[in-house]
Amino acid sequence: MTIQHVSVPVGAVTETLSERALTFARNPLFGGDRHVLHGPNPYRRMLAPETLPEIDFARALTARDWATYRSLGAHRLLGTFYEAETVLLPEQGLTELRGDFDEFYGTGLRHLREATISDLERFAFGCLADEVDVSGNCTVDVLDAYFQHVTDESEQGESPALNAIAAARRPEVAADTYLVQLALDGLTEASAMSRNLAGAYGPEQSALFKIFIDEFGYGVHDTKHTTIFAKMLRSRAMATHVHAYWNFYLSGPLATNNFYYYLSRDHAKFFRYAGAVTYAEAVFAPAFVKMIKVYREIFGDDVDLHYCDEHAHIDEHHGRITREQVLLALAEKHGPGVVPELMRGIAEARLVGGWFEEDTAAQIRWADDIPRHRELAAATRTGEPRSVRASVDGPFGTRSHDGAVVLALDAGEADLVTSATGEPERLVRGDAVLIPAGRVYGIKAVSPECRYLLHPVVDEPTT
Amino acid sequence: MTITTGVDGGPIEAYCAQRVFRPGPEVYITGNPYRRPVGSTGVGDLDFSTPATEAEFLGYRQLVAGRILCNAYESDMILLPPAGLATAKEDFDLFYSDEVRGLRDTIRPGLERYAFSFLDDAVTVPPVRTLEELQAYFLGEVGGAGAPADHTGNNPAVDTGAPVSGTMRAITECRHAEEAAGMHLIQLALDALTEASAMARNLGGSYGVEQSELFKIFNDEFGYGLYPAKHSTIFKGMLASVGLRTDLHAYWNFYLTSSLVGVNYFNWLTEDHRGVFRYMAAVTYLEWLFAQGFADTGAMLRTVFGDRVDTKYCDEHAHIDIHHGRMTYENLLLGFARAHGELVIPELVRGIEDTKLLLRLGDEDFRAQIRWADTLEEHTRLGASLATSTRDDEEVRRLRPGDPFTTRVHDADRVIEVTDGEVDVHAWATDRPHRLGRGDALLVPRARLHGLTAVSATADVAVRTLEGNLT
Amino acid sequence: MSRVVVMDLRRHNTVLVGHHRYFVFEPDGRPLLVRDWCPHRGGPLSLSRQTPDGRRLVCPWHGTKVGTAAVKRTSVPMVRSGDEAVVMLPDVDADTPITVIHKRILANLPPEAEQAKTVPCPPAAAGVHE
Ligand code: FES
Ligand SMILES: [Fe+2]
Ligand SMILES: [Fe+2]
Ligand SMILES: [Fe+2]
Ligand SMILES: [Fe+2]
Repeated sequence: MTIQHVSVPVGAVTETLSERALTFARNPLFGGDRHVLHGPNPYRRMLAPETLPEIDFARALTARDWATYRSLGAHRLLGTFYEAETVLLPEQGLTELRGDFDEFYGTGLRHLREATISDLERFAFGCLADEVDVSGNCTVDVLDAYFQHVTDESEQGESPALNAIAAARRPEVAADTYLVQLALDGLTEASAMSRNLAGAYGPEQSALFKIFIDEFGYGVHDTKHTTIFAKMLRSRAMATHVHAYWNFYLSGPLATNNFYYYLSRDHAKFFRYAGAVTYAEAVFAPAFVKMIKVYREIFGDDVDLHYCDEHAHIDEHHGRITREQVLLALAEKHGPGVVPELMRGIAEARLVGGWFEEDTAAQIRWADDIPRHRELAAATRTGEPRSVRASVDGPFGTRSHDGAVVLALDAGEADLVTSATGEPERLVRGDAVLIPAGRVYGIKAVSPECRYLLHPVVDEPTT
Repeated sequence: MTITTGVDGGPIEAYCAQRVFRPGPEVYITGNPYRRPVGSTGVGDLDFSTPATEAEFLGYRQLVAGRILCNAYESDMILLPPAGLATAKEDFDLFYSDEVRGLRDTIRPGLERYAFSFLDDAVTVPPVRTLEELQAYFLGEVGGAGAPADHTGNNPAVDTGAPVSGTMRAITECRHAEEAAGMHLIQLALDALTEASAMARNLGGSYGVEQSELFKIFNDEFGYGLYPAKHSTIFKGMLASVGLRTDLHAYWNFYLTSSLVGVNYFNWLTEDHRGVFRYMAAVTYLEWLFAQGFADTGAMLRTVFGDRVDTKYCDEHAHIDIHHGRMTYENLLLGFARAHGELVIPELVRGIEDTKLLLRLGDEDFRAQIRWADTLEEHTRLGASLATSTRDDEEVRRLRPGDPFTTRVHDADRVIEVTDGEVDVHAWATDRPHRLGRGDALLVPRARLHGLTAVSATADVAVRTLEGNLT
Repeated sequence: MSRVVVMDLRRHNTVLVGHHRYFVFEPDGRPLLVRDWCPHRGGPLSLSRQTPDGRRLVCPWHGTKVGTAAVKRTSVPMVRSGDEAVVMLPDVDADTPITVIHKRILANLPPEAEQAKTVPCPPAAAGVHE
């Protein structure tokens, strides 16, 4: 590392958020390649710079926007920003990727990130301030009552995503889609948490660290949660390197993952983080119990669920300890001033967790039922189309749209890719398919010459 | 993002002008981890555009840059007062505010360049290329630093009965040995009260077995999640046993320039992840040296304070850092070289060479400080005899009790003369600061850290530069 | 007063009691519930591997070798009948959370062919009780 001279912009940064986001995404690291899955290079991830200009960054996301392209594009960027503050090194060694490493962590991108991140966070998470209110005289008792209520509710509640898997025609593919969403966090698990370990804040710091010890498998690499997560993927013959499935992360899960980083980057939000992480620890356990049931049903013994087992029960145990020694202890020590923040963190985690579930469920249902969406395309009234070209050698990327569109193949042949492990859907000239708002897809050209039309849906038939 | 500077002038000035970074009346800052004064008015005007050279390592600007960078790095950590946030909530909000963070991000790269660039020139990286060479180089270096491997070849050897020598011995030989020892503990406190926080920045992400190996070290530093066993907790026990305050940065005003630069170096390497290889090697070198180093520190403390000192922190490190020396050497230093190839070996070597230099410079700074602080009477006599050989650049200040207090260094030897009233000179943390009465003049050699408080209702001091060079 | 925990040995091998852990150790093919606690610093003995002679466990944290005999002595009262084990945990408060789970136990695996080359520091300096 040499210290380069950098001219520091003083005063106002003149470019708009859109411009800065675009400059960042246009870096060669983020342009993608022709492959559907990303190779073992943690520095490269497709940010689809050519579609980013569609996003109006001047208009912040609302709490109802979780399944939009605006959200997908923004959270892909934000997630990349956050991960640039963690240490990523390729399993095969750095030798071949040294240039990418230097670029990813280098001064140029770093400046862009620093000049952009607060605005991007406001764009992505500013809606939480509107969506969640905590009022009245909140005491430690009130906090505990609220916490118990929401965790009980989650334990008894249903998981839309798991229900969608169970109901799917091709449950294996659906189950893999869910694993892909978990992989987003699972392969770098506890990275956001690690940002809350530094400093000095007393016994609560040690209590939080206890959870971290488990995440890190007591320092035994074979039992680190990321390692056993990779084992689960391997048992499904899936790739295990970081962000192989980048193109298949949905905006809801991206937002969920980013949410914990968001609360961990800026320590003014520490109490919100503490509320959120306590909630997450408590609701993981029952969620993984449900997951084990569904996956056993589908795969029998052909899947390694050690990861789920680990979370199902250990997290339950920790959930109780975290509640007492982190959540309630912080409330007691730092007083009523921080209790609403702790409660806000819980409420936000619950809200954002809902996005994860709903988005994943919707994607599973859609990808599982493309034939019907071909039929629906025919019955849909659409507006003026725009034409998009795809080439066999061009970079592959996925995207969604803020509103529903009908995609109609105009020239050549292409594969419609809607899941990481399912067979893609071959489209030939004249084929059309309805893509509901927020659904993530990619078009992989099969013929050298390939063009398709995107018709905005004017009047969507009820699906 | 628009950075509202709030004052005319650059972002450094705006940063230093924040309430939490401005001095208050207290010499020791307690109950509030956010208050960390950078310096008196005018610090923001200093020019950091030309990197400090090695010769300027102990200059005033390095001190100021060191304080600012420390604040910058620590605003990335979670600091809460042990008695609860209630009384410090406003400072918490300011310390972590968007505005201050924006300023921080703006000024940090320039200050890092200012503070650390000298390492590029001062350090020559020996030609070490292969894994075997790296092993031989490392063992040679630690052997040369007085910490050879034991018979296994993989652990640092520790002799807990070794007679104290070097700086530890110099402390015991001070007239005010307790203050000198306290000053040493204070330098350690800069890091120890948030121990392993820089390391925590390397826990996130994904980098294979080495990540788990680093975690194992961290786990020891964090006492396995048991608060009483956390290293920062037992460090507090050591401070308390000799009557020192345990609040984070209670002794902010007494951190030496070299201590700040040293601790900042590790934060820098972990905050900019391109430094990850340098960091891994630097931490290996330190962990290895700590084993014997803390055995010596414990012996020094027992010599100075007798039975009342609780040396558990030293004993802990004299033991666990034997393990850490081995673990970092085998699994981080050699582990990274194995996993990422010869490409990274020069950077690993660089981390060790940097650390060697910073340790040497730190040692020199500390010894000069205790030598001076221990002999303020002599330096007062010297000041009187030199009062006539000063330049004509007198700066006059009027001090009142309760004025904002700050410590500083000068880039040249100075004579401080009290022209009216009485002042106390704070050259280290003590209940008995050195008193200067009307007509007294104190020689303050360049780079020596000091602060003044008024004892009388008003006190006038005149500060003049010594003609020629004393040191 | 003892707290009673019932384990199904086909499904469970670990008991969490507040912050303490116990694991099912089978040094001679018979299950014992022992403390998952290395005498050095409380490291996870359940994740240790046996020495080639099978007589000691090598703790994954700092490489202390703990004799299996010493580990066996930490076993808590347990009555096994078939796959069911009834454990009587001594001196556990009524409100301490207890959870029975399945984890990976490396200590029951046969010794690794090639031992991890972790060399612990001399016992005198380490103050290790074996
Ligand atoms: S805890 Fe087992 S060797 Fe240290
Ligand atoms: Fe986990
Ligand atoms: Fe967890
Ligand atoms: Fe330590
Ligand atoms: Fe250590």
